[in-house]
Amino acid sequence: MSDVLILEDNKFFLELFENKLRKSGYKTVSFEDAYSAMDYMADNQLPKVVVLDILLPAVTGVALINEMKSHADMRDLPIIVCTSIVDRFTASSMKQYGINFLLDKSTMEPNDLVYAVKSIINYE
Amino acid sequence: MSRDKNLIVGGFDQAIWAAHELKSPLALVRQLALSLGDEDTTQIEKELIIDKIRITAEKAIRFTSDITKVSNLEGALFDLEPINPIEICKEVVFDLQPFMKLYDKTIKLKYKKSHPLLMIANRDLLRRIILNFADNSLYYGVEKEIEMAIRSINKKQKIRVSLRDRGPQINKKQFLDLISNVNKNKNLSSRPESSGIGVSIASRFAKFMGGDIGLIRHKDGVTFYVDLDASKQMSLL
Repeated sequence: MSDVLILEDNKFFLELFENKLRKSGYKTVSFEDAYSAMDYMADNQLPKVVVLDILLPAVTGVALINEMKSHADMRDLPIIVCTSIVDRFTASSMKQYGINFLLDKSTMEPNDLVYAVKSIINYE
Repeated sequence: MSRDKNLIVGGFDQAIWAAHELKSPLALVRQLALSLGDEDTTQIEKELIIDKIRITAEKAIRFTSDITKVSNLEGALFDLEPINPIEICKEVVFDLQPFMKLYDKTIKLKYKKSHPLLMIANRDLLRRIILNFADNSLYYGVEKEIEMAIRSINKKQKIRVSLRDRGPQINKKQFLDLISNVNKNKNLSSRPESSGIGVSIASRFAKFMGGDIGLIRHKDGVTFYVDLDASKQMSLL
């Protein structure tokens, strides 16, 4: 079973996130579009955390969040949004979408994602 | 007065749009640079990271250059001449070799050797369009080989240069939105992907040369193409 599902369309960002999390001991599974991520979650054991970008090809990360919320087994999956448009989110929209952490790609430190994943998984 | 105001507002909107598009590569370069300093980054990983920084920066520079070019199209002098698109396509493939090497991808160029295909174009603008499509296909394509093709259409009245990839689909409405939004104040959060402005710019370049760009959807990907007038020069010989 994978600990973290990563949805990120930029291959370089994706590899950075994968490397960081794997070196910290987490198993990851990655996708570059929301359809593939959703297909995976429908057919496999669910990850402990979902890390996703918002601006994606064809379908946005918000659409994936909405889809997840419509499935009883995925509704409560912790979500970490890692995006360059953090200014589009407010505290209430984060709550509405059930986002646990919001990371700004422009200002985050390399280990911020690991800390966020760790805090969710350790808390569980 | 109102016209001036519109120009200022339009320019400011475009500046915001361009700034937003550049935010992602800048953020990536920052993250990559920070990861170079990590204790657990190996020498091999460092060399790979340096390649990624270079490629990301080069792509961002191409984007800024395209933005500058498109904003200066009106009134500018660009020579249109008979051009062999095969040479331009080969140049683009050569330019993108570092990108292809990094992702273990190739671009296969298809054309009929028996029929010289000359098109009326501006060398610089055509190159920018093909680079834009190739960048996009390499980025979003999921298979190792991207297909670039050159052929005549409309009873040899037009020449089409196309790039076929097998990646996430884009629907017709999204495409029309992309090519029509270069001069509009667009809600950034509604765009389907970060390369949208590139398609808009390519459309402007093509129209400036009397041509057009288009999209063919496949069940497993898309083909982006540019159609330009065929040169009659060869038929006179």
